[in-house]
Amino acid sequence: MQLRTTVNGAAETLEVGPDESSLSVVRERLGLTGAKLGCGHGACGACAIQVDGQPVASCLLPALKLEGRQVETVEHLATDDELHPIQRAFMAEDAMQCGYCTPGFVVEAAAFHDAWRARRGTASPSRDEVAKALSGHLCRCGTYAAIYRAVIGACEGRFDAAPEAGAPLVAAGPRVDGLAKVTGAAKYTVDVRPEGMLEAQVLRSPHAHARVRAIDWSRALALPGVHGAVRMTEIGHKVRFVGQEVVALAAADIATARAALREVEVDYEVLEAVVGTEAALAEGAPEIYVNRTHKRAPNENELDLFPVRWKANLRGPFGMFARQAGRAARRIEDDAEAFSGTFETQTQVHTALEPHAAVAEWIGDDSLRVHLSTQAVSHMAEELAKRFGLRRDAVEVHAEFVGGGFGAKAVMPIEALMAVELARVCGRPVRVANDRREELIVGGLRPALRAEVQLSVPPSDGGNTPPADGEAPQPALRMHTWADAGVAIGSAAAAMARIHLPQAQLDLADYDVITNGPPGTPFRGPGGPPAFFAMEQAIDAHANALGRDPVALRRGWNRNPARARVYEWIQEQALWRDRPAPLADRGRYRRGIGVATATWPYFVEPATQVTVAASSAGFRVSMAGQDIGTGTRTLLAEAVAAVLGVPVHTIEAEIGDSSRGTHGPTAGGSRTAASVFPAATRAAEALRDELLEVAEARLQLDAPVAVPGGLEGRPRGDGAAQPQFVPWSEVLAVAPAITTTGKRKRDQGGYFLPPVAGLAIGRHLGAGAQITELEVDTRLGRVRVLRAVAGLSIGKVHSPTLARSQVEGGMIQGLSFALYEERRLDPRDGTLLTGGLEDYRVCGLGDVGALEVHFIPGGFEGVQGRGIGLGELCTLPPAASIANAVAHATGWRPTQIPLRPDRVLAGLASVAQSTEGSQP
Amino acid sequence: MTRLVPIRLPKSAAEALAAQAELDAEYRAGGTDLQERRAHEHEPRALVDLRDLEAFGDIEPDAGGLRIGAGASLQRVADHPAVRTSWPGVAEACGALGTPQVRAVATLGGNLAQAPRCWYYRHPDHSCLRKGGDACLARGGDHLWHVCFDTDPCAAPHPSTAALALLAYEAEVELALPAGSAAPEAPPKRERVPVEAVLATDALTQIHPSALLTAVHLGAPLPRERSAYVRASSRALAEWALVEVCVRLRLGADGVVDFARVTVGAVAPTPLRLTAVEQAVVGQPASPERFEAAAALATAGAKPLPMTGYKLELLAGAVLTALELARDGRPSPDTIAPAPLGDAELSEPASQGDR
Ligand SMILES: Cc1cc2nc3c(=O)[nH]c(=O)nc-3n(C[C@H](O)[C@H](O)[C@H](O)COP(=O)(O)OP(=O)(O)OC[C@H]3O[C@@H](n4cnc5c(N)ncnc54)[C@H](O)[C@@H]3O)c2cc1C
Ligand code: SF4
Ligand code: FES
Ligand code: FES
Repeated sequence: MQLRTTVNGAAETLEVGPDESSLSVVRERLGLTGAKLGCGHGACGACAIQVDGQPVASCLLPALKLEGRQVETVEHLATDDELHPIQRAFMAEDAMQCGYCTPGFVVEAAAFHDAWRARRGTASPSRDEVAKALSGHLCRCGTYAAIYRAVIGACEGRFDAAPEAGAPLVAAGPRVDGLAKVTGAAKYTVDVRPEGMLEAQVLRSPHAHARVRAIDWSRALALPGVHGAVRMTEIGHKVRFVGQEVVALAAADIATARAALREVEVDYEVLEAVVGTEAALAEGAPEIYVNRTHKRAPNENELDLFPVRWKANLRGPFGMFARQAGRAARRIEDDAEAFSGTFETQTQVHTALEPHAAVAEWIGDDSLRVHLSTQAVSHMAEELAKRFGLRRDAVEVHAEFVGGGFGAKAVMPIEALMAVELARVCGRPVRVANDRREELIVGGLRPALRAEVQLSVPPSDGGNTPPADGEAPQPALRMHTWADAGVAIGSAAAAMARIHLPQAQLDLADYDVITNGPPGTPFRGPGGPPAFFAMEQAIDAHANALGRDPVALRRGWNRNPARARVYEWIQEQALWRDRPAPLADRGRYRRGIGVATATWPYFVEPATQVTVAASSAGFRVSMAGQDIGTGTRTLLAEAVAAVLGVPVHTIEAEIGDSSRGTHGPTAGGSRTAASVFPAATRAAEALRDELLEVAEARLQLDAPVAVPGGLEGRPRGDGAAQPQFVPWSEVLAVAPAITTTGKRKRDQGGYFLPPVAGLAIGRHLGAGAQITELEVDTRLGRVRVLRAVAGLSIGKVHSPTLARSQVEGGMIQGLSFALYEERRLDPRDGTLLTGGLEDYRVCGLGDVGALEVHFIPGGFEGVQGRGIGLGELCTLPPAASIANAVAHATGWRPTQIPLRPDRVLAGLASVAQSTEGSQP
Repeated sequence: MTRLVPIRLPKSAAEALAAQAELDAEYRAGGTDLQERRAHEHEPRALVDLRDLEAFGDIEPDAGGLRIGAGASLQRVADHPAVRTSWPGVAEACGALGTPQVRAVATLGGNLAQAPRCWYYRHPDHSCLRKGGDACLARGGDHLWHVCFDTDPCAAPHPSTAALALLAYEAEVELALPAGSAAPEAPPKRERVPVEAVLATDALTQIHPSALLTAVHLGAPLPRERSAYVRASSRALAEWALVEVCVRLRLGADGVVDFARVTVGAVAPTPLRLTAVEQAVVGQPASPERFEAAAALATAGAKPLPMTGYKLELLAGAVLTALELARDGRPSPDTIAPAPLGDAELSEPASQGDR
């Protein structure tokens, strides 16, 4: 049907289908890719556009409803070269990480801002008003704290004026790619559309366990518009979970591909399936892997797999990190007061707002260009070259912007392999992009974990004295865990105790229970959040039971300086120091305060190489890496800017392309900052030194020295002259094009684990803590976080504003894990039930209390760059911190998350029955 | 090969009914429910899109009450000054559901007629009782969010938030139905039925396959009423309620409750009116003890499923909270202008548009 509408001020007449969405019109027809497809069912707001000034979810709005309306997209918010105040505010407050949700938030917040200003002038909206107005938006990176700051600030009129007169569109704010994100200009993999591109759809197994006997796709291939298909499961092989890829097919458009898949016939021999760990361990349960297929099980962890005993569906124990396990067991047995408890955490899915997506294109027979939503352009290019027998430099992997990853995009995605295979078969570029349901099935997950914990602590030393080295009496911990990573293996959760309590006696065992569920993949701090949920609650509960101070108790046995700084920091915080007695409130709402701590290592990729180039156009830094929202572009620019003493925004940072250098690190394992910053600094220093030489030779200066923004030197031979300042631009004007590269030097004393496959584990540990204040509604079972303060000891903080954003994001993801998120499968057949973002609940703006981030100074002198990463560390304490606060408020110790209202009510009822007011 | 179904954009109810009958089509109002479902259907039905229906979203005075066109967006209902003054529970409920982006587009009629949110029903590859299959998949499976008054073969709670508020106000809905044997171009028959008559499974299509919701009628307002809408959920906002409650109360000069309506949603196949609770508060002082005793009656007759027992405690808690909030809230005016403000007099719209 014909549609006449106005989009961004221009009249458009289009022929649209009855079911076509407004999102499809703006993105696919008009090429306005600022609005994003996040969920497709009205829950995330990434697709927001304004229709007659009102923000709407364009994914659900039929295009025909736009008839006669005025449509505004994010691309049109900045008019007359002037940004909207909301855009400036988002940049200045760094209300973005990966940026995938940002256009939607900006479109909605701009409408709210305009209406607010018209009615209320520069009055300040409350957090509640902002939360309600923006409640239709989700940010998986957790930028809510900054979004509050930005929206409230803009409504107060703080961002009305451009920061620099005369240059209204100039990028401002701490993030160098902020402008691209707030204007919708940032291009993600899903926005790439090469000429002639085909769309792929995937036929997935409807069975949790079956053998594929035959596939007949002849009728599908005969349909018009269908270009080719590839098998993703070999004939005779098994599929092991509902949703496993069986056939991928490419056609002219998605509807054609979907219709064609319905014509593909697969003959399955359906096998008995095991859903859930109980079924997997039952006597006579079908074996998901047999000896010869053990090697097919994917690894859900970042560590390499160690050989471990495997019996039917149980793999383990993995106990390599145990320490004096026998003595630990004996001590616990002998201690009548030892703590004993079981903690359970749920399956959490990554569900980055940009789904896994790949656009593959063959150039001739022997080179390949792949746009990939990935955390590892370098590594993916290497892998693809290997798999397809190509030269490394014949494979380009591009990821200009990446809409979040959290670990799930650090491993080779099957989406990339499907796109590459299909592109070869079809001779055309092919796009594979998961929809939200697919992403929630195969997009990666953190395994559910059951942890049995026992703890015995040394008798009280009566005080709070940190021990002299070597003398501290140590605790004994027994921690045995069972992970359900579906068909994946490699859990190492109990192993985390060795990092957190390295001198303790540790009886540690990790088991994988293999089930017919989608495979786990590394997720931000693999094993960490579940392990710390258990350990840090055990310590808290035990301290309370013994009537001892939980922080002093930890201090008593600690020997690590970063942890020592963190414990001291906790004890200085008013929120903690002045906390009320446990169970202080007796009414409907009960407040409580809890603390939890964590320790985490950092990885380094010593092969990381950063290039800095100088030309008359200015300075450019590049690396074969990517920015998944953590701020790698900014980090690079900052490192170079710091050496040269120039504003960060004058440095052009080029990443997101595997051909921009020999090697850039994978974004994961908290390795980016520690790998990239030192390499960029060295490259910049080398460049600076070359420029000094150039100046000496070409500008006739004696012994010039670098000063902020340029150099100073005396004219040659004139010892009496004042040294004169020469800005870099003048040096560049006479200099030849210069390129330098920097590598990362070894840390002092080397690494804890020297590089294996290019990856080293650093010698130092980062430490952190979170203090949470919350309120439990004992009537409706809701837990509301009012305030949370995080303290991190990680040494020097690069890009402090971005670092704060990262930490806030980690705290929010942790909160979301503790309170809301939960993947659920049908208990009979393993079908994913939480297939959208309404049922798979991630935290929204209204759920986040006031957050504070403290970086605790000191330490890390031996580390190159004097600082380490923090992306994982900050996401470890929240769940335990929240649980400890609930126990403090109510006397009920939550041992299972998420803390759904039904669990909270049941928990409260259980303590009401037992001893009223017992120690939590 | 993009799939193209026939579509009509009628201008009148008569045209809409005729087009529906001719094409065996489904009506599309805002599309916020329908489009998500259709996206996964292999053979979606033809469409009758209600975009161009004349006066479909009008809100106007009606015999001392109010007539709200079925095409009015939920946000507009929530913001309408007359609704806010005289039927505050309706305004509050419509303003609390979903998200601003959904409320701006979703219509009152569509909200009443929407399909269940059961995760089996919404699964593209599953066919349950409600989709022509032969069993309810939730019963033997995972029904954590389902009913605790298990009174129907389908265990999904009725999804409509607006419905429970309308029930509390004993609203009626107006239907346009084919005028029997008359010629197709004859004006349709208009019928007014209580709102609950269209809420049960398939009720609307059983009245007639072409039945079109054209309006909701709210009766004369009750002066000095106090109302509250409460939802229990995990997250603060934008989440489907585990339990939702609408309460209306009027207190006499002596502080004694002389009028009460209590309706609840998300617990049963249709929203329920809890007359036991109402009776327990009427004629009694609005005291904490009375309210607690009355709220405890909310679960009378409940039949939870194995996984939904928790909803009973939540229900009693939410009813109690709503009673308290209503008691402590500001009453509506002593006298209410006989002709409520029309659209033209909207003073301060909180939303800028209406689809
Ligand atoms: C994220 C999210 C959260 C939500 N939360 C809530 C919530 O908390 N509470 C709640 O109540 N709802 C909630 N909703 C649902 C939303 O309110 C409904 O989708 C909406 O009200 C449907 O209205 P519509 O006009 O878009 O209907 P449509 O999608 O156009 O139609 C819905 C159904 O009604 C039929 N229909 C529509 N109009 C008529 C008519 N006039 N006569 C006869 N049949 C008609 C259609 O044929 C279709 O079957 C939520 C939705 C989303 C996306
Ligand atoms: S509860 Fe209703 S909608 Fe859900 S599976 Fe059962 S019959 Fe279908
Ligand atoms: S994509 Fe439209 S709301 Fe998520
Ligand atoms: S910045 Fe919001 S989803 Fe990444």
